[in-house]
Amino acid sequence: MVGAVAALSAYEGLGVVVHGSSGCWFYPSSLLRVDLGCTDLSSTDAVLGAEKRVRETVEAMLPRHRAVAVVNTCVPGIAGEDLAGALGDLPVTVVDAPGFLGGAWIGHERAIAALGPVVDEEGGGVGIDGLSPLDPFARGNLFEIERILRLAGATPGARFAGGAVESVGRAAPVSVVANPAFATGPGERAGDLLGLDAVLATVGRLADRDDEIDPGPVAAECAAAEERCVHACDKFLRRHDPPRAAIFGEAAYVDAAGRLLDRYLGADCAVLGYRDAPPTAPGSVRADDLDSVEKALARAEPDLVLGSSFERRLWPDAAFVPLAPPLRGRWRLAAAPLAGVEGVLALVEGVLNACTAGRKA
Amino acid sequence: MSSNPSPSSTPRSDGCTLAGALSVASAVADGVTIVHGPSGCSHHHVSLLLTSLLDRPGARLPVLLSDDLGEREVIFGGEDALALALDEAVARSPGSIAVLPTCVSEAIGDDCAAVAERVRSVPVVVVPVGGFLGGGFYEGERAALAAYAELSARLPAPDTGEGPVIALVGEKNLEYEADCHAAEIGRLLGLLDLGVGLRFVREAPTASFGLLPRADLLVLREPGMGGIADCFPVRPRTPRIHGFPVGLSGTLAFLERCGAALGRDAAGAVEDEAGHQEAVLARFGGLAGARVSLSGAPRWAVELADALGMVVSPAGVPVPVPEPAPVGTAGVARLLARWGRSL
Repeated sequence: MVGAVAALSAYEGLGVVVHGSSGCWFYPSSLLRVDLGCTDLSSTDAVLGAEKRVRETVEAMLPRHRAVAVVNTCVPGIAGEDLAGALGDLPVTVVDAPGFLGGAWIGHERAIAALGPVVDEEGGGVGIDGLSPLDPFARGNLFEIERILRLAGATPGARFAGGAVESVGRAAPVSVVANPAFATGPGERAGDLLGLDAVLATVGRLADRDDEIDPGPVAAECAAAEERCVHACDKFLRRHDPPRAAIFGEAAYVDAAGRLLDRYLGADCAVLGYRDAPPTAPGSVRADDLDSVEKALARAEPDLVLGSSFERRLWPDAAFVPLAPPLRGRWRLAAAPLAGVEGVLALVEGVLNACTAGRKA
Repeated sequence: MSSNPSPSSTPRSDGCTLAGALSVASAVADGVTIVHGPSGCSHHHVSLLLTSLLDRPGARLPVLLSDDLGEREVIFGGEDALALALDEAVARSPGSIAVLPTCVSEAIGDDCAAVAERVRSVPVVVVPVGGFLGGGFYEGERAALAAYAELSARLPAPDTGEGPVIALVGEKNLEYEADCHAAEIGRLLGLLDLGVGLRFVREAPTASFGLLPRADLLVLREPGMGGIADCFPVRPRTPRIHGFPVGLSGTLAFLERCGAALGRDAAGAVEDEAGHQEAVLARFGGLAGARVSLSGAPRWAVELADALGMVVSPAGVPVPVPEPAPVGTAGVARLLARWGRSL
């Protein structure tokens, strides 16, 4: 449910209603801080039905938005209310994404599918997929990907999720991906931008499709960034041993961070903990509950942890770099990227600073 | 954050019983809590609990398990998933296990009590909540306290010596100042040569709950806890104080009530505390004459302003009037520091 609400809330002009209790509403509301409606279901509504309440809530939202999406929660999902029928005469999209269906990624996927995206084959531009407000790097990724596309001579196209709600009907034929865990948009995908190699490969594929796109300026930036990373990490390694790292988050982010740490610092990536996927790479584990995270940390005894506040709490003496939500107890105001050239520089910078702060010797 | 624009006829601030029940169950020092529902319910509550724990460096992260009910369990029932989670919880050798049903398990009709009954080696508390199907935060909090009270009747009373047992009941575990409040109660009781015998249930091990039935005095966090305390397995006519001490005179009255309840002469303690309060007020003598406005003008705040010679006026400078009110003289002193900063 939270993943669906987050995806929908990214669209300008689209009001979002949580069809559930105020308890269900509270968490996405506190995370997203947007105009989020709720039907405030009570026990009575659950028994007698709540179509009237849904309608009232939608009608209260419509004057402030061009369209409204209603996200089902667990109990109405089990009860099987005919929301589409009850709201058929209003500009409403019903998203069936009760929490028991799975994680935020599934809710995100359901929300995008419910909006009914349409590829505009005649339209130009390169779409940006894999954006979710739940991703702490989403805003930074968006800015960085737009910058890289323009650097290569491409025009940024429709986003999934984000932009004006009407843009859903004008999806670009080809997209690049910010965070593969949330990549559910339509059309072809040229690839992600996690790491300099991926940036070069993805922009190269875009250039193969479109003669107007020039990968040269991006390649020059990648070369300069590579040199800066190598230089900084080499300086670090003159005084410090390579870190022993445990990395937690969505699989694609974890793998990308692991590759960077290996490439520039020769780090021992002792744990790759995946929130959203079964373990595949060597050293990877499923890390979608605190117990498995705690065991993995105890086994690895890392001196560098990339992950969320959970991992930071469980292994507080290690250097810490944010990589996954939730990230509580720290200010995050700037749009930090993980994708693109700046994403690589930001991650390497974060790791070096965290490791240096912990080891002044 | 924008306010929820849903129809005003329905209260929206009640939240979920699960959050209230978790605020109690997760405070049991050696407890394991199982959320019988989708993993998302656990995730969002752990995330919020974590936020409150960030203000307490080094604090214990509660052990919270989810049996991760999914579409399959919604169709075929979730009792097997709960049984597996109970096995996992038992393997951790906790002092007790709390099972918290959710709206999903309530809607599909799982019999959590029957599943929990199969566990013999560890006390299991099934808190009769069902997400929003059964009320909001406060109903969940009170249901959890009642469930642990019921458990206390089945536990042997630990040996605590001869002194009277004073139990703090229903501390607000998500409250930022919760431990400061308990420390202040302890200080006040110390003036009567008494102490807190049981914190029910904040950061207390399960075995200590066996003290509840032999408590000599129940100090409730707030008057609203009275209904739950009526159900406690304590001796008939066990005295109660219906709220932590608030304000200057309220703190002195607390000492008098404790003394009266336990047959102790509180005159000396009251005199000592009154002297302490005078010393505190003297530290903030510079506030005399200041014009302040007090939101809601609660009696304790007006009394405090009067004691310092401040002028209470709607046109005065607004100063913080926290709700819940600060506890004891220590709470008053911290509030006065904030008033001073506001002025």
